[in-house]
Amino acid sequence: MASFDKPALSAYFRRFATKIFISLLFIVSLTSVRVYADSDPKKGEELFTSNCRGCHNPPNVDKKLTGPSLKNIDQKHTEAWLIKWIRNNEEFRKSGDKDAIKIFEDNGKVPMNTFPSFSDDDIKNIIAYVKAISNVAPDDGGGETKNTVTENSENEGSNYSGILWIVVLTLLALSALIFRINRNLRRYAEEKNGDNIPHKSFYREVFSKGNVAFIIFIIVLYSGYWLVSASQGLGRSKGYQPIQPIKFSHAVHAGQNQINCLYCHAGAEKSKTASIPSAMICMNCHKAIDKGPRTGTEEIAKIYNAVGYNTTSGKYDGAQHPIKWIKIHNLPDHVYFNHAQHVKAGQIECQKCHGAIETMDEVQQAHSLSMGWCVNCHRETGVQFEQNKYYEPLFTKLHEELKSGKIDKVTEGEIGGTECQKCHY
Amino acid sequence: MENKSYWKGIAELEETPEFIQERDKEFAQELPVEEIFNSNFVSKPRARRDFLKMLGFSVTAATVAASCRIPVREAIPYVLKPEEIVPGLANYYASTYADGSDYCSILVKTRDGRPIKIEGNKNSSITQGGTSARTQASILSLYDKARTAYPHAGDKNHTWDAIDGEIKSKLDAVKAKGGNIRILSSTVMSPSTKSVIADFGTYYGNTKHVVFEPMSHSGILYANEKSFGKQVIPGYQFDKAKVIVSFAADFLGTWISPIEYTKQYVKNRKVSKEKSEMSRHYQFESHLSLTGSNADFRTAVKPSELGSAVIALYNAIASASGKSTVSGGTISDKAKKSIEQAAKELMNAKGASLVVCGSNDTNCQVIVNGINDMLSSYGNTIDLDNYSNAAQGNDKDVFTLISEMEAGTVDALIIYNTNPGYVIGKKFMDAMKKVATTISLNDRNDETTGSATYHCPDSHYLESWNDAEPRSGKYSLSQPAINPIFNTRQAQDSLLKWLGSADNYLTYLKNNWQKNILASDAMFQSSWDDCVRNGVYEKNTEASMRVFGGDVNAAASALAAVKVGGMELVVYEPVGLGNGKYANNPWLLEMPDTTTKVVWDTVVLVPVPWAKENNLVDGDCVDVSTNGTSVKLPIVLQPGMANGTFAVSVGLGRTNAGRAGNGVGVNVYPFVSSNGETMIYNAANVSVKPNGEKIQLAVTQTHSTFEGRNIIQETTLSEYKKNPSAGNESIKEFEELVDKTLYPKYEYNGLRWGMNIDLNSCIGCSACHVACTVENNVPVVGKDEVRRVHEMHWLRIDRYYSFKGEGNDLITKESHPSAQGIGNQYDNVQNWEDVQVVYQPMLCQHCENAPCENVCPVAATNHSSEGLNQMTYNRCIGTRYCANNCPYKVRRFNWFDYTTADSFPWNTYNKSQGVAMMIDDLTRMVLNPDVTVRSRGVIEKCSFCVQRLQDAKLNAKKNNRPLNDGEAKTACQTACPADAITFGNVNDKESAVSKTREDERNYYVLSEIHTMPSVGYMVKVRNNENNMA
Repeated sequence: MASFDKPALSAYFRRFATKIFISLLFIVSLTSVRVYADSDPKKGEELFTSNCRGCHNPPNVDKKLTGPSLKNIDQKHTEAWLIKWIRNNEEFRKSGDKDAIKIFEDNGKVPMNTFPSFSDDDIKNIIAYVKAISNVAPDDGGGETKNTVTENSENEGSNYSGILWIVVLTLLALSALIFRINRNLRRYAEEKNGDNIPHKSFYREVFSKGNVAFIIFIIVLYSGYWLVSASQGLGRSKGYQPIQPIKFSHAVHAGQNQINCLYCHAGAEKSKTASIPSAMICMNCHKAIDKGPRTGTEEIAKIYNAVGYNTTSGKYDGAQHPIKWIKIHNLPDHVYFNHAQHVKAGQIECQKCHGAIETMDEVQQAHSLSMGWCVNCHRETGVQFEQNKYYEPLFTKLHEELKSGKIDKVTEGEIGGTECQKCHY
Repeated sequence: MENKSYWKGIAELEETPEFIQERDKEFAQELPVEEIFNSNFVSKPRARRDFLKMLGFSVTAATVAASCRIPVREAIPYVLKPEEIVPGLANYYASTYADGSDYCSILVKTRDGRPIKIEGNKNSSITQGGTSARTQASILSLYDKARTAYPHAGDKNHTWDAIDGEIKSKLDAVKAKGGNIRILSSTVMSPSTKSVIADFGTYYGNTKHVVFEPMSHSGILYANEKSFGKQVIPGYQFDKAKVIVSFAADFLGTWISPIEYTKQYVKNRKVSKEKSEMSRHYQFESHLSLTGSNADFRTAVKPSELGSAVIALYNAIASASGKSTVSGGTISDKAKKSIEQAAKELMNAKGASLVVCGSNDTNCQVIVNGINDMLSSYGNTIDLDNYSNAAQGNDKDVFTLISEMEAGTVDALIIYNTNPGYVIGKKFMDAMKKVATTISLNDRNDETTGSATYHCPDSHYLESWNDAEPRSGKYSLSQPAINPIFNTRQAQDSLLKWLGSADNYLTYLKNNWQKNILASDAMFQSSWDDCVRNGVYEKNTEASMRVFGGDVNAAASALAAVKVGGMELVVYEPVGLGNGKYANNPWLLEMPDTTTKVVWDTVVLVPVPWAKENNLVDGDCVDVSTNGTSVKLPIVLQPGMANGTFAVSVGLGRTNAGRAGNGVGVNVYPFVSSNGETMIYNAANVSVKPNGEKIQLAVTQTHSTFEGRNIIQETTLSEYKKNPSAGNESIKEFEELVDKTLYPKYEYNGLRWGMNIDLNSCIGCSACHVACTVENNVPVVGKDEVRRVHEMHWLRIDRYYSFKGEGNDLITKESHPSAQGIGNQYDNVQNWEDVQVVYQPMLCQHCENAPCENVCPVAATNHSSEGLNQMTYNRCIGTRYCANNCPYKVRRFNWFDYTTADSFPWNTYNKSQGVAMMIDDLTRMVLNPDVTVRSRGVIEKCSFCVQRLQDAKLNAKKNNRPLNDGEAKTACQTACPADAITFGNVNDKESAVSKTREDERNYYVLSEIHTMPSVGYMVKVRNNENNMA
């Protein structure tokens, strides 16, 4: 049995410490060092898009819509004040808050919606989003939209990972340096003491069998992780933004001109598919509007070509050429999605899944449309439990709980909305 | 009753080694794992390197495949969207399936412009929302590439204008010289088409319309002419009959109008505590037909004995009602006993009794008319005023036509929707060569059309306007659900064109309705619109009494003169495939025959004692010959056959049907003979000789066996009246144990789906089976795959035999126990003529304690809050543990990519004809877009049509209202012509399905193993006791 002497213990401890250090590095790199603030602007953006965007411009646009601009609102009011205002501005005004009453009067006495279902965290998330976006240069209407929080974790990773890797490499270099100094000093001390311990070379010590095996293990683990996450991402096309046959801008139609989504996508309330409008729907307006602000007559002429409209005679006497749009939101065959279920029965805003479509000139897939993304929403979103008469005779127990205040909402997940055969059959 | 043993086939009784292997293994074939490990592959010295090479290749291949760009998908909207179409939402159009003698009032489900499913139309008083297997499958023929795509003259493609010009000039020439034109068609039920044909005849002169049906009922037509001076097929009212005697009439399966009769028949077969009376059904027949298998008393008689049996019944009733008897009627003692009993009961139920006969012999039918007359059936159960327009085949006309053609006196022949070249064969084709101009309006280049001068392909019925009058006064409309897919034109338009009419058929149809059917006033348009929407328009005429004027004596002596002897043969029509028109329909080809459970083949059914004597088993081939016709066929040992009788079914052996049907089975129409007046579907002095060959049949009857477990519960009517739980006692005791479980109980907060199947109503017709296949994109796998027990059907109809009758009463589980189940009884059976049959539709039982759920390593199958046992294909990794653990054997594994679900086309399984047809891009249009097309390597099974349930729920939500009972229906339920299936929310105590659960007859299959299924069955009640007063 080896004697319990100091160098052996310290060598053992050192090796162990190195391994712990490397493992820590690995774990740190896995999690990509996301510095989480208390609030999540990402969630805030979702909430903003589905609840506030109807009346407020994005916080980086300093322009009033129905409601005032929210630019730097976090600096104008305290968080506590904002929470009260957003949750129930009516009550808040009644309580006699001067600021609140003033805002109400400044904005033509149009009351803001109340959001009693928002938790404090929800509102904090929205504020975080406003904070994050307020000073980002607004979309100039020309192309890239910049008023969203970057969600893509890969992007996020690359933003941080540069710094991260510099830190990691520096630390590695430092530790190597310290290790060498320590080693030389120790040797020096040993020589001075007259101990004649045979020493392995630095190279052999670092690339010992144990270390090599450990490194290989790490590499396998990491590549496994990479493989899994990469294959999970296969077929997902967040950010997909194909060039469409006509430069149709949702920002102009849905954003500037405030045309209701359902005017064109009438199927969304009735059917599985939201349906791309037939070219004749375009003609309802474009028979009169033959010139656009940006593209002039060029793009609108494509509609005329599609429906066979003759501008000089004003008759539909030409050949028809159906427009071949490029489908952006594609789900695999084994997924059943029904628009009517979400839009009509669930009363979900279009933006919840499609992003701030009214700001997009060219439509881009806003979310990953991954199963995790779907299921999360099914877990969180309340169904139209009291509003829709379908639920009442079926879910008597939940109804009683809701009435007695035991629960404040019934989520899709609670009535079977996260089961396989809601979407896969 | 519970100790009765039930068995699916001879192999099960005998416990053949093959059967035991199939039974003991959920998957009949071993995976060749050992083979691979013992092969050179592993033992080769460089196996490691090869392994690495393969690994490297697969990883690279996968990487390359994965890095492929996602394909760009286009979305092309309408330029001008039709108002009634919402993309993604199904539309239903009322229409009519009328093809020859088949009739069904239907609703066509179309999605985004293509018909994908057929439902029954409840507005029709004829079919009352019921459908048949053929009706369900007919939609596939729309997408059949074997249909002719252009008008043809010889081998040359033509335009319609060119071919019309040529035909017109030829016909005009015939007209000019006063020549004869003949139109040969199958039954035309459409009054407007008849009118077009009549106009055509008026225009050209010397024109005659001849109706030809391969399975003819001319005997009835002629007998009614003789008896009542009216050459019609009467309307039968099985719902008004308390006692039914059928002589070889398969009225539930194939006889005249089976959907109509099934609806009527089951009305008196359903029993409940409130209504505990049942009709009594006697059947005398030679082979086990669908109807015979549902009869209370079935007596096997040889075909030659059938006439005597009819005479015996006539005499029995005549002597009971004090009338003179006729000569003849000597039959076996056993048959005599049944006849006497039947006669007594018929007399007791006078006015509410019905005798039908499937024979095509006029004399036989005259005597049956005489019986019905004595029983006062006319005006009660038989209606000669509201007669049927089905089965109008007129054999005499056909014989005359052939001799005219042979004599060269026919100048032009138009063939419409009939295929005599296949049915009659050489005799007809030789005669046809003597006709100068032959025009075929058939939809494909079939056996007859191949030799026609011109081929003007008819459109599919789903592409056409038409009407139908299945029974006089009951009109029904067809409207197109899609534009013609090919360059076809409906036959009526062709005829109108040739007679120089400027109208198209739609205009003609409307004019005809305005003139003859609907009121011609200003209200016409609105009432027409109503008819198009409803699909039907019905008028009622009171049935009147009739005076019988038939000569029974003459008929009886003529019948007695028919020569008989030796072994006999029956030619019959199978329930699924029918007379051969649908031989290119893979769904029907793969539908197990209702009795034999054979797929993709023609077999000869032989009596078991004969096979025992000759030491033959299923699949051994024999040469069947009579009258100079000899055919080689594999045998199937069929219980219930009259001794000394063999049976073959028509419908296969087509040479020009199309990709799936060509060369499948054997054409047995050559066995059909003629007695000079009508066609005769049986033959005497048949020689059946084993030829030593053997083939492996594709038979599903012993697949998925229950290993002798007690899964059928039955009782008799008198027992039931005494005790509503009769037959169900053994099961009831398990119900008390339901709550005693270690597993956590599921809580069903909202809905809980449940089903109930009434074994008393189910007649085993397989309409549900095909409907399920259509609705759920169930793949066709082909003959070889069925042989390997790889069929994919989600819903199968299990057909069980049990013994009943002298000599067999003793055979029960107790008397002949077997170690494994019910085997070793084969040698003890004395009487193979008398068997009883039960049909049990078997589908996923959606168990609460599902054995499949516990064993799935990836939770791909689990339980939903609505009580569904959900199967998630995208999660399934194909371990097949679930299928192995399912006691009901309803899980199916995709051994191959049968429906091109895979993204790599070369992975598709297309080795068989049927599959190759089903994976065609055009045929794939029939797939239901709401149901995933499963790829290779996953398990699938009945989902309770979850897509329909979700749709019904969504509909309620969209309209902001509660879900009504009966709103969510499964495909099998809507297809059923017998209303045997109830489905709904079990949590709703008022729902129809909840009521069935409270019924004493309700039981769950294998409740003793505590699976707690969601599908209940109703005890079968037989009305087969002799104690009826």
